[in-house]
Amino acid sequence: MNLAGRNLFRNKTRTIVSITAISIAVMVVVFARGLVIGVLDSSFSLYVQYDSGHIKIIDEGYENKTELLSLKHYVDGFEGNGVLKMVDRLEEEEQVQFAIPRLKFGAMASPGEEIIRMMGWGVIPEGEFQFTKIESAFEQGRMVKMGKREIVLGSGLISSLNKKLGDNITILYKNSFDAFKGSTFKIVGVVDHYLPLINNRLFYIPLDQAQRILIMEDGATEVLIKTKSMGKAEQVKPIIQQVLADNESRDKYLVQTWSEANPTLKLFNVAKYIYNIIYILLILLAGVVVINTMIMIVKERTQEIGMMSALGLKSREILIIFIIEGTFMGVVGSFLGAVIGSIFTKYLSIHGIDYTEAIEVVSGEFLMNPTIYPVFNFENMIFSFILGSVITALTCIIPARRAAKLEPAEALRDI
Amino acid sequence: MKKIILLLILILITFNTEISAITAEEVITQRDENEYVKSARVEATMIINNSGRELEKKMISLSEGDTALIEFTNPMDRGTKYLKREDNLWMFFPDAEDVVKLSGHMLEQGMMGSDFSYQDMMESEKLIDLYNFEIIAEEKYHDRPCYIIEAIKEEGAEVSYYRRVSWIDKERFIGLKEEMYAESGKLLKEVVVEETEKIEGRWYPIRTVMENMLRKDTWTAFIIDSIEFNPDIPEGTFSLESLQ
Repeated sequence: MNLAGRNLFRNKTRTIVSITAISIAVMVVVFARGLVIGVLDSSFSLYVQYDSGHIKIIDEGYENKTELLSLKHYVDGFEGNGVLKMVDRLEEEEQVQFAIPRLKFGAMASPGEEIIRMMGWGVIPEGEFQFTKIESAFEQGRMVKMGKREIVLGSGLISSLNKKLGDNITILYKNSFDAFKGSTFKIVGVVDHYLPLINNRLFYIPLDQAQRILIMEDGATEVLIKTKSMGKAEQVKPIIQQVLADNESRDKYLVQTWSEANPTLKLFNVAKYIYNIIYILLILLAGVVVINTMIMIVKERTQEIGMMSALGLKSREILIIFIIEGTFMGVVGSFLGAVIGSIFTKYLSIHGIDYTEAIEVVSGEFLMNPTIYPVFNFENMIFSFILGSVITALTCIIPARRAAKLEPAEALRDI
Repeated sequence: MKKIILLLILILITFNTEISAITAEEVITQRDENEYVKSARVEATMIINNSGRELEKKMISLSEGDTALIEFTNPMDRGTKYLKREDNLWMFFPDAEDVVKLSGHMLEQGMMGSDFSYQDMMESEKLIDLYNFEIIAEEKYHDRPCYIIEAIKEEGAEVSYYRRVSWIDKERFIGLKEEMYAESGKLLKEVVVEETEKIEGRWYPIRTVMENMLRKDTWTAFIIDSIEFNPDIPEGTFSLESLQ
């Protein structure tokens, strides 16, 4: 061990270069992992809150018409006895934390000559608070109340409509019979949300009002369920299907987990594995620098190795000396990288990286927070440290074996 | 005697020649005389069938030239009013405080979710002024002898359909069936008149069924419950204020 330690300081520059290479690689891994987890976690939770829940129940015929906001195929409870009764029954299940109905429909308003297209959500206000964190996004006013002709708009939408809190607004829409209609609502709240969809297109009205104007008594376009965690969705799905079957509604409705409802999220999960391979490759690349350093050391110390062998040092011991040398560089480099990377990640996890412009180009439909907050956690730091240390230790085996294999007589001749 | 028979044959031939020599424009003009309404008060029912769901709307319409006011009277739409003045359409919904003006491609949408577009209902000009006509065949339709007349839009005319093919009753000069095509040749709509009646000396369609070929599994029947030609229409009926 002492010998290995001393050897490391013989050529400090070389050792520092190797350690720096590993540090940078581990630092990049810590940051990249934090960033990827940050983006994915935020998107996952946005999709769960605003799109699919952990589990979504829709009418069988609605699946291909979701984008069109069709009102022809909707959820009206078990054998038409109302969506709210269905929600109550679902909430009786132990695995279901809560369930909410949403009635999504297309609408427009025409303040002057231009036409502004919007998306309306008929909601149960308390349910929406439970399901999303929309209450924290309120810039002015409050949420709509059931039974009232009230509306809440995004801050982007209200300014393009030239309206303000307290004004009345007439929205135009097609009811479930495709008839063009208009209704006036009072603006009681304005939300300022970072999602362009909510800020610029969406409005909330009470579910009962949406059902009334759209002629969809006791109906909703979807029922969203939150289980104890995202990972439980697959286990809870058959329970929900059983509840539907017990109530003679198994064939009418489609039960989708979040990953079935959003194939994009499935891809995200695959991306997580791909990124893990990239991290390993990145550290391997830094490992090449260590291999190179070690090969040079072996070359330089061929005579010394011969001497050690002649003095009776076994080749296994020589192997260990070189592995210790390499591992030391790996451990020190990984430690430094993990610490510096974590500090950097922690800083950005508080301040975030503003991606607003880039995301506006992508699409308003894609649910992603335009300010990305990389996730800082110790698990990530330790993972990256271990990954760096182990890969470097493994890469050291190649030059160390070479050293161990040297014949003492041949090595001594190499003067 | 032979001479008399010959004369009779000659008269018959001449008479027949005269009938078949009628031009498409003359047929359409005679049809317009039946179907074109200068002013009327109509009570009607519209049955909209959409994928098996059926909805009944009742309405009262007052029309004078290119102006019309429709008020819906069925419980679901009671109070909804449409006002048409020239090419403009305003709507009043009892649930909304503003009057809504429809324009542009919005007018091509189905009225109240029916297969009739707003534009179909707004057509108030005589067809003779908008299309070039040609008799393309003569055949029986539902046991009634008919002219099949093709109408191609006149250059510069603003119409909803580029080409229309109509089956017009040879004796009553009333359209019994009509197909409406886009310029591309695609069949857009088909109208079948299922019932006609002679009212105040003119044949008029009483039950018309429209099918929008661009929509799946839908049809709309428009049934006239009562019609009064040239009624007394109070002044100010067609003003925007009358909507609210």
